[in-house]
Amino acid sequence: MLKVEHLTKIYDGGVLALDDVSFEIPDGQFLAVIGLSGSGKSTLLRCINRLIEPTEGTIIWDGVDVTKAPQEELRKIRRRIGMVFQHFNLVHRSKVITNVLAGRLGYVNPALSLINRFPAKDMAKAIAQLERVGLEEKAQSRADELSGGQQQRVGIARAMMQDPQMILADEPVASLDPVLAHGIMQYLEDINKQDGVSVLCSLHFLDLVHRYADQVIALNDGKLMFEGTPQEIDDAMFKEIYGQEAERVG
Amino acid sequence: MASKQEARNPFVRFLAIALSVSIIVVAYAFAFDRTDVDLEPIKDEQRRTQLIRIIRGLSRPDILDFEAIETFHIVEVLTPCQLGGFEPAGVDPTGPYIEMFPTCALPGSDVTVRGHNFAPNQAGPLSFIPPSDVTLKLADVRADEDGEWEVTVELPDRPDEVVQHLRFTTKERTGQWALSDTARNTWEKMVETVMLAFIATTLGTVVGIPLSFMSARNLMRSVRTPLVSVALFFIGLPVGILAGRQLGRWVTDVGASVGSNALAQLGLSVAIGLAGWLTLRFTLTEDDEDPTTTERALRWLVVAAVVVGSLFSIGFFGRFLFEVGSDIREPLGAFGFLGGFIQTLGDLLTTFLTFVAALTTGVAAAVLGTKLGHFVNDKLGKTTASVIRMIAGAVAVALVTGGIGGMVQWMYELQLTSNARATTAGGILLALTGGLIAGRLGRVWVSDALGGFATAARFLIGIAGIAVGLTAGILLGVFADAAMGAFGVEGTLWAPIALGAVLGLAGVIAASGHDQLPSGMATYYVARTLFNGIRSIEPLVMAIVFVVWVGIGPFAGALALGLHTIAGLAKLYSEQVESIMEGPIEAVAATGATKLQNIVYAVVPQIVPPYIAFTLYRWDINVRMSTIIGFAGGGGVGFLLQQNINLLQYRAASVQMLAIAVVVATLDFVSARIRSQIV
Repeated sequence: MLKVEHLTKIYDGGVLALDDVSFEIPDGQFLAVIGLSGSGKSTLLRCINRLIEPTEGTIIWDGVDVTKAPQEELRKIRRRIGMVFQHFNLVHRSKVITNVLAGRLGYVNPALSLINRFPAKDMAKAIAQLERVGLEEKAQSRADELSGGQQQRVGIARAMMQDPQMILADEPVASLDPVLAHGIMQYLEDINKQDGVSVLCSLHFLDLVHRYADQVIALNDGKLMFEGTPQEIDDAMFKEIYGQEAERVG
Repeated sequence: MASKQEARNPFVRFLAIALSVSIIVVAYAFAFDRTDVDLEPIKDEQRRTQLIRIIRGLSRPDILDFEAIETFHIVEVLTPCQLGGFEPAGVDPTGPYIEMFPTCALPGSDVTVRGHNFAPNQAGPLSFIPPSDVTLKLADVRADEDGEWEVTVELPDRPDEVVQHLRFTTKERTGQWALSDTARNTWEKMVETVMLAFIATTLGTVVGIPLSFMSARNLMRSVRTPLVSVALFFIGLPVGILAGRQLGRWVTDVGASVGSNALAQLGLSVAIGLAGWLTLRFTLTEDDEDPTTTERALRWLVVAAVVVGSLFSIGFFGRFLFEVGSDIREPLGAFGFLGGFIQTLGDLLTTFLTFVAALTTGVAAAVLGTKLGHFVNDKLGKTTASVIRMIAGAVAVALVTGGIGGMVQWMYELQLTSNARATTAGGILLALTGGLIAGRLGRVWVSDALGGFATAARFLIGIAGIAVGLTAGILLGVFADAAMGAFGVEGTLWAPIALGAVLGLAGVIAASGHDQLPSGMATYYVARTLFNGIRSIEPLVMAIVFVVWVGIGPFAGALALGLHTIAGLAKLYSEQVESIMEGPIEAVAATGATKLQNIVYAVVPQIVPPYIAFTLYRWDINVRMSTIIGFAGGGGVGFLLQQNINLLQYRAASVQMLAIAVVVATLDFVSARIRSQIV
């Protein structure tokens, strides 16, 4: 259970990115976050694992207040939250397998991991995760030799290495073409349904929201505009979220 | 919208343009005046011939030479004439000879010189040799088909009563083309230069890489540490360094007590090393999900024990290398330098053991202090934590001010009751604090809307803060010194220590309990300032200092360039770190990785190619810089170059310049190849 209460983020320059946002996700839910670019979707996701420090508000996850957690505890929280990024964020010059193994860094012995030593079971796990996304034969390739869709699958494998209870996906398909988008979304759906991992996914396209999300929240200018099921977004709501000039496609 | 263009009166515009043009003209006039731009010497005939001589010398590097016999053909000359005329002696008209008409003349007058019986087309220089035996070249002459030549020259202005000489030098080629002596010397010195630059670059790279992470804004910005951790860091560091120094001395003494038996040294070294490795192998596992606090503490103890063991192992190994190196030096013959290398390596290990031990222990203790601080903040009760915080803060700042006081004392050799120690310590500390607070206030008070003025206003507020802090610190220092004097305490460092303790306590009380200090940015600024300082000291000056310390020669040059390289590379490297992609760093941080893991997994892979490129470039810079270093006795090709330029031997200097160019070009080529392989 993730409970976000009165979350506010003001950046150093005084920009109000999140304005008193509150919502809840029960375990195992697929929640889509929608809104225009700059509406605060990325900030919201990054506040949950504190890649960005919230200015105010609390985030309770599994009964623990993430915003108050000291450094060591925060690392332990982060390692159970997988993250998938719009630009995949792989280390280009490293091998695919190294990128995937990086997902274990929060669990392994920090000293030995510095000289690239991982437990045998983690190595096996990394291969298994690559098999799951169909890239086991690419394990020894450099990450930048892969296509965009493949890189995002590696990104998902890396997140799955963390044995996550929740995945934060920040526009996971926005840099991919629409055909590939469904492939990636299906992996996320599979992880959500098969493994029971909660997924928080920011999305641009409403059709993807309808197809994959159980629940939707919408942000506009940092404020929570809507919370409900995808079916509840009617034309009036749509205009409120995306602005008066927006046109609904599909 | 009323355009600005329209509002402007054409006359005003004209005035503005005229004003800017005249400002530019005045600026250039002033610059010309200051740089002494003077075209008169350029037109001077004599300067022109000198210039041409230098250019011709430089363009004929003295690389190849053929074995040849030089023959001097000499005729006696009297200038000016004396009573009774003059008949030059020792002319043998059967072989090649030269004669002068008239046989004596006034200095500066024109005379005719003729050569007879030379080989056809034989050429060479005709020179005037005064009694001091220097050579004054008069002309280059060449014989005709019959081996005769004639030339009119002006006698130099060298009047003397004794007989002087004219000399025509011919060269008879006897052997094959070969490298000239200059070329051979240059080759030798060039090898020295490249190796010197190599050592300097290695030193710079090894030290520069860790420093570069500390001076990269993007890595340090997010690093914040609780106040109590910072305080315990500053307490742990000196305590650790002192303990480590003691440890290092102990290790050295134990090593010396074993004596000079190489085998015993090696045996001990290997045994201890092996034991340490096995211990680590069985205590550390890669799989390390959630160690309990006890497990962790135990593990740290084991690691500490292994580190101490490895110090012993290194100490023994160093002695072993030293012994073996000196033993095999002779038998190796031509490869004796390998033995010398092993010996020096051993010497290096034993000499720097204490230093390394002190540094390691110091850093370890400081890190332990930081961890302890986190523990105090996160786990202990409020009251206990704040008491510890106050004590730690007071002690830490007292140590810092005491340290500053001690440094002032050491550098300026202050005598007796001067309150300079306390005032300097207080001044520095409060000036920094004032600057920081003013910087913060400037950001709050001054609105961004002011644009360029906002920056200026904030800058002024910052300066004002520093000034106020400085004044307050100096006043407090004077007061502290007086107060300590009133209590009858006259120790060298008590005043700054007391001042620091009070300031530290005040600081902790002023800061709220859970304040996270921007320790990352503090490190960043300290490192940057240090680099800027070191970089702005010319390597030439550093070379002079090192020559005093380690003597004239390439080692001094290597150290001087090495120090400069550390600062230069750390800056270049850190700017490279600042320009890497943030995405992977964010992604690795999201997996729960530590800062160090993040650097190894997300930062290092991104910076390998530029680091290699910069390192090779720096090697290239060091090769070029070593010419300057050579001027100050730092060894390398620069010494030869300087000597030849001073002796006006431009052909020899040209060889050295050419050698440098060739090495630089080679390094550039190698660098390009390596970069294309690695990227």
